[in-house]
Amino acid sequence: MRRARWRPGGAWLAAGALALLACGGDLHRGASPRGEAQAASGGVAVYVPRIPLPAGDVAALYLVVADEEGRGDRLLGIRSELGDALLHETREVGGVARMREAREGLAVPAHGELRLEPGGPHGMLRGLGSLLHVGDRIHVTLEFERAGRVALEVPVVAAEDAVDVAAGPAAAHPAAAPDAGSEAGAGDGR
Amino acid sequence: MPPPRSAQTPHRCVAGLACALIVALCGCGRAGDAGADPSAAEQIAARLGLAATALPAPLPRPAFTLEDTSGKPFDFRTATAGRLTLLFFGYTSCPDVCPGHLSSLAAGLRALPQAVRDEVVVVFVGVDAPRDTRERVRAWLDHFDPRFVGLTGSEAELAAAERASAVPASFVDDRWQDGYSVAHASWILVYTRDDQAHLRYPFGTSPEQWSHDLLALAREGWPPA
Repeated sequence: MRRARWRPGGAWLAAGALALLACGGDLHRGASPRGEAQAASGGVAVYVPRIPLPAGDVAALYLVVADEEGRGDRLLGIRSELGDALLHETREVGGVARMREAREGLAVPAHGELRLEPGGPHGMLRGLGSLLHVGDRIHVTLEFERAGRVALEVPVVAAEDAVDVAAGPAAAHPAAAPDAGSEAGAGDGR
Repeated sequence: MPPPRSAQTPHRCVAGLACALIVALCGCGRAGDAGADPSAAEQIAARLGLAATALPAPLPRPAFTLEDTSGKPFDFRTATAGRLTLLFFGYTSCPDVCPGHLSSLAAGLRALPQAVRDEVVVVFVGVDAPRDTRERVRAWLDHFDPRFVGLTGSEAELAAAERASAVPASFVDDRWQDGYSVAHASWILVYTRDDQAHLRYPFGTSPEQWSHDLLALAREGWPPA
């Protein structure tokens, strides 16, 4: 579906959407990936975890954490079988891509979701070398303030597909949290 | 391995001209706010259905020289003159934006006929001087497309290349126990056959958009008929 041939109507829409995103200083693609939860525990569910095939010794980890019990939570850290990992946030500020460590974790809003996605908050896995191949599955543990540890098996995907998943068709997503009313708000340090 | 560049505010662009330009770029085509007509580039981008953001004024193909991954001097303006050229400033220890940009671009190029691909030059400048060695840049770029040109240089040479290209200066942004991040321009500049840049591409440009746009720009040149 994402590979469909270019249609002029889509081009206009996409150009407009990108221009809006660029003007908003937000690198997010704005859509909400859906599918089966890969793991659910302690009030949070994890969707579409993926690691784009890295070109160097660092890789990104993208996924969506949905709050399922209305309490909210906080993602405090990530560990992988390959080595340690950091929580990062990318933001665009005045045409500059900036990436900082999220030292206080990342909030999962009550009734909402935390999206680790290209150009936004993400995990950074280190110490990979050229060990990974598309189709590999990597054991990753997420640590939450309330839900505790949630274990995942995360597939390594072609790098360009990691972006495509994040841009997938918007579907009904869980009610947005009060502070997540706008798309632009998604990157604001949460 | 402490990075020699200290964390600094991105105000290296004290030359008023550069700051004015960056402010104008960040305005991103909002000329309509002032009641002015959209720029010519904006109209062309809209007509061709391009995913690019139009620059408020064209930028000339910049003159700077860095070292390519074989160790030879690469004079950007001369080496790429008259060719459809994409220029991106990033760093190889970047997990998110840089590989996202280049993998989308590479996938978009792969979908095009060889004759079109041959017309496009992609130049990556590694702005993290201590870590972006020639060997590392080459190995990293080979994961996307072995034909991507990789350039490295000293901090002074890199800063000069950024100034010449009118992109924001890169700087060390955050440090952690054993590493650091580098802030860098988030867009990819496109120079057309008239040796000017009229467009820039934001992060998030999809492979399909790259295919469409590069085909259009390779066929039409600038300004398109």
